Amino acid sequence: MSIQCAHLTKRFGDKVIALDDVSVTLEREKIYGLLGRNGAGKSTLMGLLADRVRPTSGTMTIEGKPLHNNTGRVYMMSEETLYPENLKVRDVFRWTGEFYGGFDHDLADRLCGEFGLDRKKKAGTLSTGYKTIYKIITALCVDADYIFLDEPVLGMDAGHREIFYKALLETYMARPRTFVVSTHLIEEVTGVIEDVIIIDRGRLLKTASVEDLLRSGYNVTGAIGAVDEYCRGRDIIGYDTVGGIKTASVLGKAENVPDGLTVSPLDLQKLFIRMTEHKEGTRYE
Amino acid sequence: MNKRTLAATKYQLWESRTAVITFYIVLLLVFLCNIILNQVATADDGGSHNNYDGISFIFLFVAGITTFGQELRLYLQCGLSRKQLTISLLLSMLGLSLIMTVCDFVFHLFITAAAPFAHGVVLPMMGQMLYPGTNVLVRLLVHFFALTMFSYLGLLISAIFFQIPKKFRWIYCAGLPVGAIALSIRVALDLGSERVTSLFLTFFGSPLHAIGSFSLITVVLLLISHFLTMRSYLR
Repeated sequence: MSIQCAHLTKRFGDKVIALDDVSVTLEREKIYGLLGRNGAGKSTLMGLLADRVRPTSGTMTIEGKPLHNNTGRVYMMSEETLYPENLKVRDVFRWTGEFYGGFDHDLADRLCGEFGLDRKKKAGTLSTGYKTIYKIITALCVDADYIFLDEPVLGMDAGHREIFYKALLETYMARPRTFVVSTHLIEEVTGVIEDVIIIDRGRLLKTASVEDLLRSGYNVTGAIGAVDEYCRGRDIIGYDTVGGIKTASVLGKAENVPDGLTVSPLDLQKLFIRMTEHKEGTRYE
Repeated sequence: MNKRTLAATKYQLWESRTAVITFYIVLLLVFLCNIILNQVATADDGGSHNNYDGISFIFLFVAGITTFGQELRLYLQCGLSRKQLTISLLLSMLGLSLIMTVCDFVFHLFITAAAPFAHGVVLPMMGQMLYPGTNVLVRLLVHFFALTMFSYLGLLISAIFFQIPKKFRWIYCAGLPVGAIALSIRVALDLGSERVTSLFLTFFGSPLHAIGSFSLITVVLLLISHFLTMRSYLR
């Protein structure tokens, strides 16, 4: 069972098409990365999945039933803070648990200690980073089957980001459920996510496992002339040139690579950039 | 009852605790000041102007107005449906009316006991004002239904506010109180004091009539609020 979205379209007014005919399935007990450039439609898609925004057209079901008014098992952590500012952090945890019928207070206590978050503080008095932190802790500890994290590491320093990724994996291992993480820090999240959903200009560009996506090709690096020679006749995703050294991202399996050229795995971030590039002649589709 | 509706109702009542406690503390302090400072304004008939008539109703009316908007975002965060939202709001206002009925009664007893020192100050309950000498339970019921009606009136005003496009809301905010006062004066002048008195007696001539009238008005307000909230942008 899963969340299934079919032909979702969302318009704002007459001119803005935030999502255009997007169909996607979110399986149970998986960690998805929702990737897209600024304004691609990631937050809109998450808003639809969390039933905060109604689609202009299309359908959404959860476990076979209509998603609308049936979001008891869905939780979304958004950039916007919807918790009252005068609530203390411990009350946020308490009431989230009341609404969802469960909350891992032990995990919350531990994470508060690791992040250095004072539970007695009012949510509105926290810094930007700590507001993100209490929302993350709430999202990781709530008893929900589908958890959407929209830019969860916004404003967090590197140390805290590491704590978050570790906590995400730990809670997922302890209690497998579906997480959808939307982020621009693709390099950091690659080690955490299993599948990717790539949105570009409101349309679904790709859904695939990270493993399949990265195995779809390889990088070859060397002198510009040697790389160009090797790439002749092959499917090329894109190029990077630094001084006299060129790196080409090539589709398919690495075969007959001449000496002098180095082969390395594809990089998800670079692949994503190539896939969503809008400059003439550089886009990989 | 659905657990989310119950959670939302509990949250509303929990959130109101500070306001209710503050309200009665302030009431007590004002009462004590009346006694200590001997600040009692005497009316021509020898009565006192320092009664606390209707303040609980004003409190709940304001609570009804503010409740709808305050918690919408929290309910959006926690995945509450419109139906769960409206039912929880209505239940919580009902609960608050019950709590304040009991608190008003306790306060009324306290002030009554302190009467020798209170220079004629009283906290009249609605039931006692309208139907002195009737059974305590009946008076409490009248007070409770009246409080509930005022809170739902506030809720309805707030629900209408959120239905109006933003650029026209200022007209609503300014026009509503002015319009209400003007309409009341107009109606009173048109009907005349005898007719107004007659209408009042029809609807509130006895405790039973009063409970029925308050309940009927409350149900109407409830249905309209529920309908409007179900139309809200949330879901």
